[in-house]
Amino acid sequence: MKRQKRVNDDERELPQPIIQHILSFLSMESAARLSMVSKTWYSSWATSPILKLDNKESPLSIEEFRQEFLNYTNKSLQRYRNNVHNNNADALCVEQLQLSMRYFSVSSISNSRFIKKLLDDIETAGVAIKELHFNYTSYAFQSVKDALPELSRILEVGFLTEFSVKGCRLEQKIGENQMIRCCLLRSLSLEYVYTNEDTLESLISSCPLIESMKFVCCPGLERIKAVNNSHNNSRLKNFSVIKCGKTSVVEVQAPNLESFYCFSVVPVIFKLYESCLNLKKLSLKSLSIEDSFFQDFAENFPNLEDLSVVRCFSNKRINISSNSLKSIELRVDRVEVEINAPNMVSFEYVGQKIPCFQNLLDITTTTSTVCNYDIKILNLSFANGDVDRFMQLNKMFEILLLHNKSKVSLLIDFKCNVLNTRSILKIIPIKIAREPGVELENDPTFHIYSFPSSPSFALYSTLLDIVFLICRPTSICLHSDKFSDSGFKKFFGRRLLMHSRRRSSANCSNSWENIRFWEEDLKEVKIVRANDQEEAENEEQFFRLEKIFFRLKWY
Amino acid sequence: MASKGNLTLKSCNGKEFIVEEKVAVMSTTIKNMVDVDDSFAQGVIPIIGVDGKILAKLIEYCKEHAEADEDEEVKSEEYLKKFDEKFVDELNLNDLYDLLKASNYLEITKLLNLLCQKVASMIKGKKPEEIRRIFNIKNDFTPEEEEEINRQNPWAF
Repeated sequence: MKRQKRVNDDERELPQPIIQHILSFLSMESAARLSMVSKTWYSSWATSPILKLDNKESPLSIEEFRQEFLNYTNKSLQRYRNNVHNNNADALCVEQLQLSMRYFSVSSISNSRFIKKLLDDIETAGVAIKELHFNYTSYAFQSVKDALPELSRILEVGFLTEFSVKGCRLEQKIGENQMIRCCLLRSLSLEYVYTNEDTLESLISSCPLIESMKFVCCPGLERIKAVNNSHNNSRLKNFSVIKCGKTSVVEVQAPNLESFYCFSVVPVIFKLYESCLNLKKLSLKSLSIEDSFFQDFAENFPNLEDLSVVRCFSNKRINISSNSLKSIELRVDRVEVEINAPNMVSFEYVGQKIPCFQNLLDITTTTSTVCNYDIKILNLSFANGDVDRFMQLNKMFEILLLHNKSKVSLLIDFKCNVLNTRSILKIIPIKIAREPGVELENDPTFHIYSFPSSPSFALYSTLLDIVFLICRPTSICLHSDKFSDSGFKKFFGRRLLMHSRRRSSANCSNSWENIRFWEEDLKEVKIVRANDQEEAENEEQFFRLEKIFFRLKWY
Repeated sequence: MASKGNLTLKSCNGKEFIVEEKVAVMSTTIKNMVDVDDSFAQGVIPIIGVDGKILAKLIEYCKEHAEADEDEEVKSEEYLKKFDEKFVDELNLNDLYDLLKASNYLEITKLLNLLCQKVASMIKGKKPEEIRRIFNIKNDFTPEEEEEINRQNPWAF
């Protein structure tokens, strides 16, 4: 037994790769402290392929810190260089150099000098660095632009596979004998980086292996172009441009592009050259898109699975037809939407018009995949005689509920006046949320946001009628906030409960004059708290909640 | 005998576990074995150097995460986070070490990261002698060596 224990003790030491992995979760300070623990931990630290330089936990004053930091960096780099000289093949290069400075003002001259010295040291150390991550939390305002470190020299080293920097400049000086050589670069990420189109062009054209490019909040680039260079961006798979304030044109020519993401604060013209045969994910936010963009959609993007169009200007009608699309997210304004995507399993919509679906049948009848439909229709108004709108909603519900595994959440934000609902009732058939005898695995929830501006019982009654004109939901969620009129919520709840009580005392069922059309079908009503199934003992307390759920049973 | 879609994993002390394939292939190592050689999918996969107790733990973790990947509704991110927390909190030091090694060998990246983060949080801000005490590590430096390392990075201590 004792012997067994001793064996265990020897095995206590973790293998070096695991220790190094643990070190990667620690700050520079804590990691260095660990080197004191034992010889195994010391050598794991000293040969760790990830060199972290940060000021996260430093107790030193800034002057002391700068000096110690430079010493530490030099010593660390020295270790790697020694490894090179000793032909220690296992530790030939720094896999990752992470420099991250918090609360570090680059505008102070001494800090700026310090960063310059640090970069000089890294550059002259002659150590191959594969990944460079560079990050300050106090970054790139125009006023400090000149104080930001210039990094294009580092790009001359040529071993980099990943270059991810935040808060710096990347400006190749014209006429200087500089050569950006990033023939191994696979991933480029620039955030708050001042750069210019020439530098960017020579950078992009020097990296034939590039797979991913990301530009976040980079001022100074009017055009971001990845087109027509010697290597044709043949490996480029991911491209994203996010909030680059000055950028008005984005052009990408990459035959194997898989994901394109563009989110702008100003209208951007974007061009994707050639048919994007391999494009799987397309995200467009706040761009200007013409209606014609959606023409020939299936031919242009034959493998697109994931489409997101959010707050894009200038289009009036979105008509998407695609067999490959699986997930669609649309956040639009007053745009007509028509979707013909038979393989769609997820649909998220926010808009003011009722979306129209075609051919949803295929997937709903052939797969067991759970389909998610989350539809929010804002500012929907109804007028007397406006039967079309009811028909549209009715039809939409019918389609969405075809598949008994679909999860439907419909939110309608009503704006309407008192209507004569009986006249509409004569025309449209009512769809029940669930076919008799078919168990839906997930009952659709009908969300209602409605804050009538001029509250009256007649109007409340109309809203209630509209809900049951559209469908017979098994679950209704009523939303409100502290600013909204709680009258409707109370009315809604009391009206349904009144019905249910009346049912239970059958003998007085005809003594009420205002029996509504839906009451004949309604069997049972329960009010429950949001997530649990707990039933209300005292309904009145529930009316104070922001959300109340009603579970309805129909005949 | 495992039915279709299930794999049999055998620990080093001979315990057999039948698990769904989607659970087992959370381990890149097992995934590669199954992909390359069909016979593994039918027969028994020996998990070398991992005993039954640890293998059961691994399977428990992978099962939760595989199910969460499939259905986000039932096992939400929040649920998983709580599960992860509880999972690492209940481990004693021996199990933690054994799981670290096993998840490294089986390449269960998510679990490896979780465990390393746990160790990192136990270490953070602690002095070397405290760390030695927590993890039961012997100080094998001579006083001279200790002084030398101390001199290298005086700010760290």
